[in-house]
Amino acid sequence: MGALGMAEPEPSAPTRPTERAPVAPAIAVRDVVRRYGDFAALGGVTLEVPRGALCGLIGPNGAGKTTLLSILATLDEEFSGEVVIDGVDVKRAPHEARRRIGFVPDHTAIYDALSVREYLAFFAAAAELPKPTRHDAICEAIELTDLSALADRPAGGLSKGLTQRLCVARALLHRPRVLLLDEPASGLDPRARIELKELLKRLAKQGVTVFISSHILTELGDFCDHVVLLEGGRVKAADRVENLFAEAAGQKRGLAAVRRIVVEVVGDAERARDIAVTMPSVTDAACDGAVLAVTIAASPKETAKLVRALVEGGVDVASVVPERQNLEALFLSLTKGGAA
Amino acid sequence: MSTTSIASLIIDNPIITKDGFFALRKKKMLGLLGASSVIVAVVSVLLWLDDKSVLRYNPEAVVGDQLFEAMFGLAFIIAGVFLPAMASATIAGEREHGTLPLLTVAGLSPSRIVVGKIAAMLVVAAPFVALPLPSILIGAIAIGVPPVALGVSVLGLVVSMVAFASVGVYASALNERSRTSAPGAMLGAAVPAVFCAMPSFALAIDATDGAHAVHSFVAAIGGIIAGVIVAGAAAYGAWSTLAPQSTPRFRQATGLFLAVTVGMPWVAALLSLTVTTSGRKDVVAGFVAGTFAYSVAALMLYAAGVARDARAPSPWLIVPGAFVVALVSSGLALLASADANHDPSLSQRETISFAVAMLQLFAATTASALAARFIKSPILAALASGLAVLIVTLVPAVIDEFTVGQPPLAFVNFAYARKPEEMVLALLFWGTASIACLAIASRLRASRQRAATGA
Repeated sequence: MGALGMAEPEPSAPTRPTERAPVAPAIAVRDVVRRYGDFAALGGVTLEVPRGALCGLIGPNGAGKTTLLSILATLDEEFSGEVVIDGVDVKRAPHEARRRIGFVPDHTAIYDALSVREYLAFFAAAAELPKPTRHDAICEAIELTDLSALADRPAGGLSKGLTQRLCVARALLHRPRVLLLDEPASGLDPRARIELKELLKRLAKQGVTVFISSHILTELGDFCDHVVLLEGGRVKAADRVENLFAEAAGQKRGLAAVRRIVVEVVGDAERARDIAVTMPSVTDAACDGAVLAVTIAASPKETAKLVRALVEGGVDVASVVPERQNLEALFLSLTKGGAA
Repeated sequence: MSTTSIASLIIDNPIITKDGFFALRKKKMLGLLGASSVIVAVVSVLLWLDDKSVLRYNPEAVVGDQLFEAMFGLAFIIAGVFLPAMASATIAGEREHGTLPLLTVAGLSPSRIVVGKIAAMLVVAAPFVALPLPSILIGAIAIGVPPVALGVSVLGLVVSMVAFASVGVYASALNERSRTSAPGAMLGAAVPAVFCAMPSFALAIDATDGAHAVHSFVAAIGGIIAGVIVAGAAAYGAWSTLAPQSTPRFRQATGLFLAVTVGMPWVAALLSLTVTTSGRKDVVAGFVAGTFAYSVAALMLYAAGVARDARAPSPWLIVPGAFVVALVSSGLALLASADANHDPSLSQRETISFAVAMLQLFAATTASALAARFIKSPILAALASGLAVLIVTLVPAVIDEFTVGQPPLAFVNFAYARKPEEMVLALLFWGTASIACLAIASRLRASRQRAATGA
């Protein structure tokens, strides 16, 4: 099992061309062990999250996600190993690390009696933001999270989705470099989920590193660019999402560089499958209605060859998209039933 | 503390705004303040006008005497009830709401949290405690209380408030839920109540009584020092439970708190012993009796509340301490009360009443603590606690009433023990009670540790 993106990548690990290597990672975790008595909640976790990444932390219940996030958020010091956030060691300089971290816990923690603005003012003072800048910081956080219309409403009266946005606004007050979110979308309706995702994407574009945990994989699959897969307190995989898919497919077929694509065909999908499997670059093909899922060598040329072969074989191609949504399948293939 | 300047503890501390000023603007709080002010005003007018009414319990008092005494006492009672109860919900309340980790991540240091909570409680309590102050001033002028004595008494009130709030915040820091921290806070508040508030109140009463004024003045100053130490120890205890790498500090702090709270009564008793004139040995006996009751109460507090925390040191560590306290207090109580018995000018009855009051205080608060711990329904726990308080208040009073001049309950209180066999019985009684409590605490702690390790 290749634990990619870790401090000592295996030789077969694919390269990550989009990453700027010389920049120190936003989050660096080395050999972190956290024990509760005889039970090791984290058994030697090592991972790196590059700056500006939208990184999902996935894993089954009890995998150690919340424990890891508590450690990253400087709330748990009873661990061995090293955790460096934005260049600051959380054990040696927790106060300094907190200035770089925004944390949204897995429960909506607000003060009912305070208004949205008062709630944010409370945390702005707690973070010791210089007084003249506080008003601007609060307004900015309110605007970023679209809470302007509700700024003077009591926080206790907000819906769950709005409360979650308020929690994110709170975490952003001091303009952190790293935003940690623990299961932020649980209990949210679809609209609130989409709004939260859009907000996180905006933040990532602004250069904030977002590290978000969830056990609901569809939540993360379509917007994270990196994934860390945690199971039984150990990192099973950590890399860019497409690399993980390629790796998972490659493991299945013994190939290093393949990818999954979804081809929508007009006409006989079974014939399309028959054509596809005859190609040397295709390792797997399956059809479902008018859709053909293909595992193919990870090269645009091979994809183009497949399309040409299909068209020449009398099957029209309506669309070709990379398969990205199916994080569940990846999860299952990488955890090998240990998640059950 | 290193990264936080002293000024930032009070100035620009958002906890004071949130839990102090914002709490006061709640409609419930304003309604309570309004109702309290009406009650205080009505009682003040009745006390002032109706010298011959049923409210007048002392027929020899001058006009204004009742008003001054009753209202000053009321200020202490409001502080002693209101502050520990409110403060017990502070840090435990943040835990219940899941907001405590956010305060830490937001960069609030443990010292800012603890100082902020204590100060916020003082802000909320201040208007309530201030309600009787106008009547106190009018009464003081009417009966001619010396301004210095009045000033020291009011200082004692303020220090008591700080100590009450600190003890409440400490109890809430030790508990996961505010419901379970309230009894501990009330029980812990017995220390500043007995050793800071009572001497300050006694000074106000004795200030116009030349024979006792000097003694009371010294006792009040001693009480204020004791109050400052208790407040500091409790605040340190609260801080240590929130501070990073809490385990070793937590142990130190628990040890320090136990040492100070169990030791403080002895300091006060010895202080009283050195300054007292030959005519006030009964006060010494009372102090010693109260001291002993308090020492056991501190153990009960530990057993009922503190030991539920898996981080706490083993309850069995303090068993030897319990026996040392019992032995020393029994010796001193015997000496003091025997001396009191041989002096015809002394009131043994007074000694006994004081000791009984201490016993009641201790028994009632312990019963509340245990009821809160073992009964899940809050309503049933409150009822059981109320019933226990009623029983422990009534029974000794009834026995006391029918056995004037005879030492009742010799087997439960050293202040009454006159013979060696009574001493042995008392030792056995309290020794067994302490060990039983500690055994329960030990089991609770073990089960909590099992739960914490997920085994």
